[in-house]
Amino acid sequence: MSNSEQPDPDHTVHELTEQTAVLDTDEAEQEPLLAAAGRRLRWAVVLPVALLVASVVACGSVYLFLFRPDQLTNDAAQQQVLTAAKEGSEAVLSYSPENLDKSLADAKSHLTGEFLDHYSKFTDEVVRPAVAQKGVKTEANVVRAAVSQMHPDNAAVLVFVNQVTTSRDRPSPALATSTVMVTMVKSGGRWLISEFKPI
Amino acid sequence: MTSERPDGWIDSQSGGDRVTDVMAELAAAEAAEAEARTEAVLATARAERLRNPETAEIVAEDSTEDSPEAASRPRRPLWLRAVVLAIGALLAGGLLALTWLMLSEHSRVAAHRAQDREVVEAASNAVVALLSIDHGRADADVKRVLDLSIGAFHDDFASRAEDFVKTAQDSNAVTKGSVTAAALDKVGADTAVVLLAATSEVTNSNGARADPRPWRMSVTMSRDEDKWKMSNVEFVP
Repeated sequence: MSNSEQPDPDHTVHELTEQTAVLDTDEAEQEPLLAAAGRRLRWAVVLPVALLVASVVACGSVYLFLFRPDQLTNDAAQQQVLTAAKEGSEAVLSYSPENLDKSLADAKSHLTGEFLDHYSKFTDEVVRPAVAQKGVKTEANVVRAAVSQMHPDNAAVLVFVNQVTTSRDRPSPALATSTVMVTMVKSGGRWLISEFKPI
Repeated sequence: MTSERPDGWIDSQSGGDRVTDVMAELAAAEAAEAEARTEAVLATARAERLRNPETAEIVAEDSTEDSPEAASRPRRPLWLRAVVLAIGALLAGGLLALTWLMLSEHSRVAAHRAQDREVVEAASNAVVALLSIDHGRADADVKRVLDLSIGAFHDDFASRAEDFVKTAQDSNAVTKGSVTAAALDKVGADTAVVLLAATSEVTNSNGARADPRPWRMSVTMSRDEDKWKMSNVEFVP
């Protein structure tokens, strides 16, 4: 400050700043009284709500990503897949001249996707003529089967099939054994065969 | 309010020095501004009280709540807040307990799955060993099969081991087995049944190779301490 020759104003400047400081604290005390109470109450609400939301999220995600998939692949679910795979495999590999249309329609009801198309084509081009011309009759029986892979909406089942075939030319039953890896997919609550791979 | 004080003080000044005047004016302006701010804060508080008969504290709390209950009920006594908090705590506690239950169930299932995989892998390894006999090291190959076996199958195989080694050595052949697919049929605490699709390929001493022969097998596995070993081998006809 340039007015050092006058002691009084310098002194008054100090007093002034002190007074302003007092004013500032007066003002500063007014606001925190409200804000601090607000903040305290805000935390009293935000914290419990956040905890509740966190527990909902934790519970929901554990159910969705761990518990539900486990339920959908448990022993009961595996039994369903196994039964569907056995019935489907037997239906696909069994037909006779007497009720060909019915057995083929029944077989198709167990299939889905590309394998359904493939099977439809194969039965129209190969099975129908063979059955009509040679009187081929075949009966498949699943001797053993077990689930190889299990997921909530798809599965792989290892199937041991024994197939007995007769025809007009060969009336004595011929036994054929095969091993098939059957891929199942869940569609509308039902397990259907989407792939049928002899191995 | 306090803004009069600097003015009064300036009036009492004798010289009226310019710098002091400027300082005083600045101070007065500052004080006026401070007063205005104080007024504004108080006005906000008054407005809030007018809007809501409750205290400003409740207004501040209500503004952070989305609960429809809070909007419809202007007054919320302490006991109600305590009840809401208690219900929330119970709900959170219940959800966390449920989460913990589901997690422990999942870890139980995961442990079972891991054991299932272990059984299938052990069965596959044992079947590969059983179908893989090299005439050059028939003794070691047979011993390996015995190491992977237990119970009835182990005893049966051991009693025929000598003949088996001799036949293998005489044949001058190398048999190589492989497992195409495997699936767990049944599993219990100490025994399990595994279905396997396997093939074996025989190479004669002159290098002639026969077509791989497919096998359908049902192998019973039994737990031997921390390992699973073959206790019965069945070829499914």
